[in-house]
Parts: sequence; C-alpha cells; structure tokens
Amino acid sequence: MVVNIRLVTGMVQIAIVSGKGGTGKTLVATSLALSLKNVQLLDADVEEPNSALFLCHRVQPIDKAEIPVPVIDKETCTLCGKCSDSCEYNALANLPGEVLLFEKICHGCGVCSAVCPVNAITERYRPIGTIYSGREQNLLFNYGELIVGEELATPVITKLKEFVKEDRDFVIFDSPPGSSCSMVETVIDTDFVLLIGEPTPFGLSDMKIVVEALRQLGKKFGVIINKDGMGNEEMEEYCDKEQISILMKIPFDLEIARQYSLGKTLVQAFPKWQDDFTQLALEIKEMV
Amino acid sequence: MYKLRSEIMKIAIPVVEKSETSQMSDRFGRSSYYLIFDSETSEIEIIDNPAVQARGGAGIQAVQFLVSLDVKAVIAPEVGPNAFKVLKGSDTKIYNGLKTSAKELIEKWKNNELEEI
Repeated sequence: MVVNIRLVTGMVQIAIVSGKGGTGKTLVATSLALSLKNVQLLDADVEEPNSALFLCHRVQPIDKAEIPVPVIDKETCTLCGKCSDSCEYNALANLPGEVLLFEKICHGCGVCSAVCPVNAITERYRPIGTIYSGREQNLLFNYGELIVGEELATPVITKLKEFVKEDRDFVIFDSPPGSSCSMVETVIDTDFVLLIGEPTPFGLSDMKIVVEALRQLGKKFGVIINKDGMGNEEMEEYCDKEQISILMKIPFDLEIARQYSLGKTLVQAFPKWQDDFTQLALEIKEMV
Repeated sequence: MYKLRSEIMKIAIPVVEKSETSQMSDRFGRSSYYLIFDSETSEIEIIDNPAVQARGGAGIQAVQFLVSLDVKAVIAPEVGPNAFKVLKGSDTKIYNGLKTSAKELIEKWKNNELEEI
C-alpha cells in the first residue's frame, strides 16, 4: 500500500549519494520513489543513468545540455597567448601558427573571450548531454545522459535540475558516486542527503570523504547501511563516534540481489519494505 | 651501422627523479620532472614540470612549457592524444623510447637508434 502523505509545507528534495560505487544508491532511490505518492525521481548519475531500467521503460528526450566553447577568428587573432595563459583547464594551446582548442577539456567558463585584447573570440554552444523524461503512474521521472566520449558531467546535472517539478511532495536525486563536482552539483540545492554505505573498509574509507564534503557544504544528512552483515562493524562505530544517524539498514541478502538482477527494486520484490521507506521519508521531512 | 646525428637541438625526456641518472618516467604530461639535453653544448638540465598538478590538460600545458624553453624534440614511452596534437602542432619531434635511463636514451638518440613517431 502506498501511503499518501500530503505535506503541510512545500516539497522536500533528497539526494541519494555514496562514496564508493555499487553501494546501493539506485536500490534506495527507486524503492523510496515507489513508496511515496506525489514524487519525482531524477537520475543525476549522467555517466551511466540506470534508474530507468527499474522504473520507467518509456522515456523521451526533452532537452539538451550544452556548454559554450570559444571560436577563434584566425584573421583577427594576434597569437598573443593571453587566452591560453588564462585558461584554468589548459583547453587552449598557443602554437606558433595558431591557437589550438581542445573542446572536450573546455569547461565553458568564457574567460578566454573576456581576456582577448583584440576581440577575436566568440562563443558557440556545443551539446554534451541529453535530458529525458517519462512517467509511470504517479511517478515523474527524469534523467540526464552524457554523450559518449564527453567528459563534463556537471553541466548535464545543472540542466537536469531545471526540470524539478515544484508541485511534488518529494523530489529524489540519484547522485553519481564519489565526492567530486558532479556529486556536489547534485546535492547542493537539496534539503537532505541520504548517504548509502557498504560496511567494508573500502566502503567506509570512501564514506568518510563524502562526510567531509557534506559537512563543508553544510548539508543535513543521514546514513543507510546497505548489505548489512557483510564486512565489519567499523562503519557503525564510525557513525556512532561522529554522531551520524543510521536511518536504515538493509541486510546483505542473496535474494535481494537476485530479484534486483531481474529488474525488481527492493519494494517490488519485498513489499514489506514499503512502510519502512515511507516512514523514512517522513522522518527526513521532520528533520529538514 | 647507424649514422650519427648532426642536428642541434634541445631534447626533453620525462624523468622520475631529479638526477642525471634517472629512469624515464612512464607518464609524459604528468611527469614530475623533465631532463633537458642540449645537443649543442651537451649540457643537461633537470626542471620541474609546472603541469604536474594540473586539473586537466596536463599534457597540453606541459608541451607548451617545453616549447617555450625551445625544446624541439621529446623522447617518451608514449604521449597522450592531446599532448600529441600540441607536439605535432608545434613541429616538435617525438621519439619512441623504451623505459630505461635517460642517459641511455640520449646515447640512443645520438646514434639514431630511436624511432620517430
């Protein structure tokens, strides 16, 4: 049974993150989304979005993510080298005969056109990703996908965030793994972060880095331990010591993995979990 | 028999240590140091690579730096695609070197034993 929770105040945005990959972000994100009524799920893991495999098979492209890249007019350019010297990302090389642009390294910051003393640089927009949308009963679903061969995930996530529907009670982001720019871009505007941990030394080591990042960002967050029972107790001891709430534990269970591999989320395979996830959402709502 | 070279130029080799006896580094753009050999004076100089900590485009920055020092050739085990473009764009020669000491590579270069890419 899906519990209808009409909320007194506006929507709550929750980001689901992890340090290490493969800890269970998508498992939690999809199950949480399916346990709530007026919800939108956005898969921000744009390098390999996979929530659609579980939730929404009919999606369509609705927009594209683009970044500006410089166009250098060779007639006007004096090869002074100011643009390549100013480029923070080394996307421009000032060579004897021309300025060479490395498009895929360019972050689209625009500093080259600003510093060019002879106005030889204009900008054009280059597509690097696609935004998709779909709907499955009550669930609104979006994801971004980076074009194969592109390197910059963050602008695709920024674009994806434009599609957040303000009339939803809950907006859930499935974040890329790790603690780099793409994770930060995913969580920065959210109200609460769910940090999924795998209780192994590797899982804990990566979790600590994310905790540090979230604290610097001033984010409220809590932990879900997935595959509980494997590895050791160090993750719980760490959370205890750091006063981080463990909001849920999902056991290390072969049957969960087996069902998941067949395309069934946790709550679809084991409906008893639905109440737990609904309860979790309410707890988070209380905390923000 | 190989013919000895008559060209005069500065050659850069990525190296792992700040020493004339250093092994070649297996990374080009992010090598910590470059050994620069001047074939005119036979002088050897070892310099820090300013691009070693670059967030991206290390190879591009490193080659521009080497070109600014008047380096005309590099010896490397391999170079990345971006560094390759800048090397070609600046008419810098690339010699394929097996992983060994920089000193030995210079001897091989003098004896014309290195393959140009």
